[in-house]
Amino acid sequence: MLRRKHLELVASHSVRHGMRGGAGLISIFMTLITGLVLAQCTVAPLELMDKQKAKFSEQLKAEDLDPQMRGELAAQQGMLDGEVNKKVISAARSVIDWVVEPSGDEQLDYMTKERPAMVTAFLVLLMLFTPFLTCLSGFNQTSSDISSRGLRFLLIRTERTNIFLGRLIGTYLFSALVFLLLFVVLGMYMAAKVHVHPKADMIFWLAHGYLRVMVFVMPYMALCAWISCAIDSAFGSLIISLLLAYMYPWVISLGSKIQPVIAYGQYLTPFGYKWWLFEPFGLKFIGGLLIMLAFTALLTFTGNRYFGKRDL
Amino acid sequence: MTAPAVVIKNVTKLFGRQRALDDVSFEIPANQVFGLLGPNGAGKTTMFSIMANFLKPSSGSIEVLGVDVEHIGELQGRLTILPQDALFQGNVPVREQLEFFARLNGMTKEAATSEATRVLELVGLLEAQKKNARALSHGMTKRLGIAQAFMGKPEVIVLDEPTAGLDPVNAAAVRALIADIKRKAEATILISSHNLAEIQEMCTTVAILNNGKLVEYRSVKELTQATGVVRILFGRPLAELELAKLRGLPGVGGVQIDPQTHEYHITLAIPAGSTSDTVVSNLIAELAKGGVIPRSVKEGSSLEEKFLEATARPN
Repeated sequence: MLRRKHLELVASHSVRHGMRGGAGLISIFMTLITGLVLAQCTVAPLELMDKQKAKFSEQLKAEDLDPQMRGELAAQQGMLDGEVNKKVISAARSVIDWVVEPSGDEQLDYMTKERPAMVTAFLVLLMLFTPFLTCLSGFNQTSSDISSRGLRFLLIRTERTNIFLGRLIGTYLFSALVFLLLFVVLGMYMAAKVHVHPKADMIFWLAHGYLRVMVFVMPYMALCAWISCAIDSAFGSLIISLLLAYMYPWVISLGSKIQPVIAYGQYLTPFGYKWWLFEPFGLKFIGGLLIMLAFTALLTFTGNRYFGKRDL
Repeated sequence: MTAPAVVIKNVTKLFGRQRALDDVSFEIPANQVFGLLGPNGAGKTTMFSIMANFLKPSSGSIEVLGVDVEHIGELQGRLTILPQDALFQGNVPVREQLEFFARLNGMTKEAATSEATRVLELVGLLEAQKKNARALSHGMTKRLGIAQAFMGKPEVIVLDEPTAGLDPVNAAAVRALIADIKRKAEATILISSHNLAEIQEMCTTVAILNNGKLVEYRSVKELTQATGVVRILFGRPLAELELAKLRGLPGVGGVQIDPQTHEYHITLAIPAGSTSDTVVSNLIAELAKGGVIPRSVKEGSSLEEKFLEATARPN
């Protein structure tokens, strides 16, 4: 029997002790490092242009500068000023086009013109790493407590469903807090470094991106819950979760190069629908949302059923 | 007649091809201290684990307080267990763990706090309340396990080897705790232990498992007295003549000397119209005439003897 009070207790205990066994600490560390490295990769070309402009300014200040040279430098600086937005958008567009394989120009324009292109470039790169970061957060929901038999202290006090779902919700909330920390840090970083987009637009799109990433986290967290309750070793659970999250899409990607029809296999996992979450608001976006929820429900149901029947 | 606290019906548990429990059925009367005995691997822990719904039976069922353990959540706090070898969350302070368990038992935050204090005092861990569980010694961890098992007002308490690994002082404290509950008839306690003297002292009824099968189920009194044997310890070994006199007394069927305890095991052959009391009082009086005074007289076998006998029988 599902008890709301027990769910709350188990989930809040799980969030508070999310760093149990150091797994949570690794998750925080890896999420921040990955996010910041991706942000740095995105912002780096802009910083390079800024440095170039600063260098021209310094040179223009020199009193003994040849007038012809001064003219050329000023022209180059002016060109940089004028071209920077176009260059940023074009670079982001090519990154997005390469990573996302968008459904069409409408989606590409939405991601690069309607929304701050640099933020979108960061978000799409982060989406590729989201299953990895989710597995790092969620691999140890129950596995080490099953192997240490520590779960037995809970098993006589509440139904297994409350433990399974409570831990899943708790770990998801913990993961949401870790991603929130990353997005807050990134918001500040981009607000300070990126001046090609209005700050409010970037913050708004980052907030949107956060919600979309967290929707994508859901099915993978449910997958981890299932694997974690099925495998008594935390390390084993991590490896299997990662293999399931990445191995299948990788095999499909390779296979589709040989036989294009294999590419449709990607739609058997949430990975195949991830870019639907970056469609303009409409049927496809809602479809993506519903599909993520459906995968989450299916994986949660299967995991919970297994957890309810197994020896602990 | 009160309903039994636990009803075990045809429980079988298979681990692969290994039959850990084989069609075991018995009932545990309410408000008693019940001992579950058996050699290593006999299936005691498996039985307790099924009772607490940690393990699922391959067939059969167990009801605790009238509730099928499949729906253990309905028992919330009425059944508690000290599991064998279960570890607490290492990086969570002792008090916080107990408060969490108490909240799951249905207590309010305030009640959980005071209940945690009560049980920590009960097992002498109040000073360690802020320590993380991983900082506790083996004995302290065991006491923490006992503390969580005695939280609230459980009606059935399952203790899997509660004194194993405890020093004599703490082991005695645990026994006193159990004796107190037994005296007040507040709960049914199920104990498994390899310390048979302890079981004999605490338990009213015992069941003995061997190779997953129930081989004995009786009250301790019945089990240890049903042998027609009196064990007498004298202040000194008997001389040949005294021993011969003892063997010749009416009602004495045979005499054996336990080389370890130096007790004289006297098998009674009670004559018609007599009782064991008259035979025993007569033989004590006869020996006293020769200046041989018994230091202790016990009737029946020790539980250990019965245990060895029961587990040696082919299943």
